[in-house]
Amino acid sequence: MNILSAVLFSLFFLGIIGVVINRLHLLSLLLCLELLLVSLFLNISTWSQIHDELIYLNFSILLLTFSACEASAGLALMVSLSRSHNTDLLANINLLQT
Amino acid sequence: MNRLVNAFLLTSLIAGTSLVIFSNHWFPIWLGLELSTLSIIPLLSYTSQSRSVEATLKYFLVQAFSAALLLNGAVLNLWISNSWDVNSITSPISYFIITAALIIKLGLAPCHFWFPDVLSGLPFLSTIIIACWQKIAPMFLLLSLSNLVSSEIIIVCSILSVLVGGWGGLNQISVRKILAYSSIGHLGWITCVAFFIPEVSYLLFLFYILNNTAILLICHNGSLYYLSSLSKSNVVPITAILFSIALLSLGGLPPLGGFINKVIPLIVFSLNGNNFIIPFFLIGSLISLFFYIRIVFNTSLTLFPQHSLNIVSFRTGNSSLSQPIISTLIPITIWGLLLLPIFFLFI
Repeated sequence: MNILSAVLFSLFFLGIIGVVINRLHLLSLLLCLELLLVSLFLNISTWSQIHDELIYLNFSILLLTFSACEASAGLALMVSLSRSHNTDLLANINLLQT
Repeated sequence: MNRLVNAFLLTSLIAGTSLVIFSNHWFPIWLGLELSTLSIIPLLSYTSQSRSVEATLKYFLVQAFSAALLLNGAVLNLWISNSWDVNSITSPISYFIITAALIIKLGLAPCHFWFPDVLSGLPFLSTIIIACWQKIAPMFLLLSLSNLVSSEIIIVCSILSVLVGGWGGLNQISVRKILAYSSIGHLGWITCVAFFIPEVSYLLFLFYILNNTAILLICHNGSLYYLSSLSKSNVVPITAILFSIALLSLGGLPPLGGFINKVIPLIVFSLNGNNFIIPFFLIGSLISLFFYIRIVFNTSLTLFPQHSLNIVSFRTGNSSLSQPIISTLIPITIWGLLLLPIFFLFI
């Protein structure tokens, strides 16, 4: 645990704050979700190069692939949502409240 | 939906959950959770109705966020202990982050707010996948972690879940929201034993899944989406009786199988001397029993003001495949109490 890992974990924490505080647009929520996964990619890549286990660079690319799939699924859902609700604003996505 | 696409998505859903259950390394676990999330999104949202799309979006956001949080906890453990193994959680902070991610995924209180919204936006066959199948992977992970580290956060969250499940379901008119709050309460009962004997929680979880699937299938068959449609339901009358039995079993009444879900945690708590927290569970369970009985009352024992042409209708309902499945699931609620001696193998 050195300063480098502290920086990477604080990047993840910034992504969490971005997901939680966001109140306006759905797209910024998806962007912060991507930030979470990219920070994990950086974290695992850094760890594997410091500790000389280069097989985990392979795993990091697999992580990046899955995060790209997830981002595309999120964007497809956003497109479908904006077709049905006509908006991106989170305040108007309120059909399911009691 | 296209049959090939449907088969492919269901196969990858089962593959994702199996990957989580059978692996010792954190990476396939995260992979399996993401795979089950991604493969379920088209299954939930292909009808493009507004409520389904919004429910799918909320479900996807919660699951993606918690999967990233889980991997973060695993990587934190990696920096501290240099190990990717699931059975070597050495730091309490990483255990806390992983447990928090699993609590968000399961829908335990205090992270339960997405669950009633998501369930109330989906048709009943999709709610079976969300409420029963998708809980298997995070529950197995939570219980296998509880084998290593016993932490009080599980008990606190389960007490909150049982109370929230009781009080949350009181003012609902939508049957899906009622079943969502009942599911939250039941998960509270299931996870509270994980602090003491995690192996027993698997048995309680099995009972919960079978019971809940039976109820959701009966609701799908009769299209029972709101309390007002309960008395106008067009199911065969024997299904109404089985529905009442399954609901009372979910509430935990003694001769029925759901009583196992209540009596085993009580036995475990009293054997370990923790008698103080039992009243919290009993209060939450009693309140949820009230709204189960309200559903039973509206189904079989009363008639809403309606047109006289609607009173008698004996159509068989929505789906002819669900009748034999319901018939095989109901006996576990009737005879399930005979499985209680399995618990005594673990004491």
